[in-house]
Amino acid sequence: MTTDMVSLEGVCAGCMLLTAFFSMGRKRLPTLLRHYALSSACLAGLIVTHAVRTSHPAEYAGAVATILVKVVVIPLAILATAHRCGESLRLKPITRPVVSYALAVAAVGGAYLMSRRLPLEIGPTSPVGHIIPLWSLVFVALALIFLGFLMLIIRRDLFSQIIGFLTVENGISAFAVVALGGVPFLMEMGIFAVIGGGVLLMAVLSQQVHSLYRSHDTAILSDLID
Amino acid sequence: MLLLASLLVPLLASLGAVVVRDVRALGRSAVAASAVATLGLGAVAGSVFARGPMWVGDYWMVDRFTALMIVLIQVVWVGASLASVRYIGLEHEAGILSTRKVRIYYGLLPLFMLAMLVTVATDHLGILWIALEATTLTTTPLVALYKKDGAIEAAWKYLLLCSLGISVSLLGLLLLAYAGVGAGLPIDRAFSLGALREHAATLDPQVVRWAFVFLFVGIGTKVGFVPMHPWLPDAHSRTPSPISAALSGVLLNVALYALLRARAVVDLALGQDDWTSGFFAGFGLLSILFAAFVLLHQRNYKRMLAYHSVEHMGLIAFGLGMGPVGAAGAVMHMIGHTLAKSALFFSAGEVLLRLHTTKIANIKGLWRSAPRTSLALMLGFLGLIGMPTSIIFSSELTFLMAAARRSPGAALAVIVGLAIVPIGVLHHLFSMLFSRAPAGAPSPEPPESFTLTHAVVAVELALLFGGGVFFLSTPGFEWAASIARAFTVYP
Repeated sequence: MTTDMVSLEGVCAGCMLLTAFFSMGRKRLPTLLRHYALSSACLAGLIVTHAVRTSHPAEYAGAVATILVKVVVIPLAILATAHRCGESLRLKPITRPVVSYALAVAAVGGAYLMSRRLPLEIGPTSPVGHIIPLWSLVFVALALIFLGFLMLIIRRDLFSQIIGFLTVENGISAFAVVALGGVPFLMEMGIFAVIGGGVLLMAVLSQQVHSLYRSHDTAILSDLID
Repeated sequence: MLLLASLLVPLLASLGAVVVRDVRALGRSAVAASAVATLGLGAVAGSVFARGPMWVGDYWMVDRFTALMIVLIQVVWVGASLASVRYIGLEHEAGILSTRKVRIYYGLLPLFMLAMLVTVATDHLGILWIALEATTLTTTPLVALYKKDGAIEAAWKYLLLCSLGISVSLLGLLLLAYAGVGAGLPIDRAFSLGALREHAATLDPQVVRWAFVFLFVGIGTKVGFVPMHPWLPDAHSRTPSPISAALSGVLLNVALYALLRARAVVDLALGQDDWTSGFFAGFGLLSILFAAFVLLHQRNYKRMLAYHSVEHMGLIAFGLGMGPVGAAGAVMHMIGHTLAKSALFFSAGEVLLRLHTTKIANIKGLWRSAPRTSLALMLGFLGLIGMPTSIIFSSELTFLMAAARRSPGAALAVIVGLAIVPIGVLHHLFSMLFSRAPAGAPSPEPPESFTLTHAVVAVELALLFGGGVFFLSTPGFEWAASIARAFTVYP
């Protein structure tokens, strides 16, 4: 049972990283959202494997909330906002896919180096009692954070920036799961509430940007530069 | 219990805005709510100053530093509520704000104050993080309220950059909790600042260092340290002036408070403060010098005030990197910044209401047309740049004395920054107040009268210049030092 859970934990973590990585070169919003939803589903899987391994049934609630909010509500809300604006769902990255992937490789490499430097315990000595090395799971979490930041830099449209922010947030959630075995239930729900609220506000603002400027390109947001 | 009961007041005030539809009634109820909360929270703060720290359950703790922050929040809340009655009322009458927007405004103002109060009063890192992010969520719609002239752009940058920063700080908080779990604390207790302080000696110093890096970058974004500051001048200059006063005057201090609470744990774990002091002094110096040069060529008076906040946060950070004397100066500067900056943003609101422009070049001969507001601006700016006897004069003097002993080169760099700032600020101020209006230009009517906003500003300026005298005395310095001891490791 434990070995199966460890394998599943590795699969979920790997799948999270791959989906985030391959989203870097995608140009269509629905595809980008599918990648994000799949990555979030893997995060829920990671939470479940932890809940089973550590016998903490309360963590299932976190997994359910993750699926509900990040796999269903947020992608649908962003897609609905985009449809309401009536603009093309084809996004405009400022780099070509090849360059985007090359930068993504560099980001993942940076996350690898950082994860090896972080002084976190390895294996059964870690506070949560991992069997596979903790640094490898932390590496995945950091890679997601780095990829999210990269998306914020190389994408100029508002929707990609929202997804970049959400990718960063998924990385931090993954870190909480692998390093601490999750956070207290009420705190987790509070975090969900503020992240959900933040994304809702971003969706509303992106609609207002579109109604003012007839575009989602952040390059037009330059009235306030000194 | 009084603390928790007082925290319910802003919540009820916000709910009231859902029910009440009359703009005047909304304004009056906002003032009443701020007054009631001030009575309750003032009693809590007074009790803490008299008798020492107070715990309410496991999650709430008020010590002298918290009590000071509560007082500053209340001063700005009461001031902003009073100023809003006139400011929002006139904008509603002029058709700039619809009734719906006024209700949004009065619904979010108390929630914003509640989020700040929870941030300072909680001892739980998770609640602190959620409340700090809630300050962003409750103020973003206020930044976007006018939906024009860059308001949406400012709101987008504000929301995205601050949310990202706060997310990065969550990584730091998780690492601190990880260190706590590693030191044998159960997961619930690992998020308690009190428990972390108690077990600081057994926390892994390496993990704690990494935690601080993420916390500094993340919360530093919210504080407005250069180079994480780009959202600040945009957001602070685009929102209604009473909210600008609260954002600039007290929210930056609240974010800094959160960072200092975490820093205390880190310093205790490391057994010294040299390592974290380097971050504060370095980023502080960068913020001072950058803001000083930007202030030279500002064209918008609200942005000028916003950039001045960047410089002030830099000064406070610099002081925090200069040992116990610098930390006492930081306490003084936090108080002075809140009073001066809120007074100036309230006055800026008066200028905007009268002349309908934020461009410095469009404002001429203000001293003649609006003498009361001009006097407030003059005194406010003089206090802001550190004229005796303002609190900011006392704090800057304290910073320089601390730096001269610890790092003379850095002290010299700060002096350069402090010398540049008045050049830019006074040039712009004199241009607005004393330059002549072009011949034939219409003078704004009617003549200026003394308003409620002027009364608020007068009280704040009196405290700003009177407080400076107190802080120059030994009891005043001792008082500031006693508050600084709540967030430092000095004996």
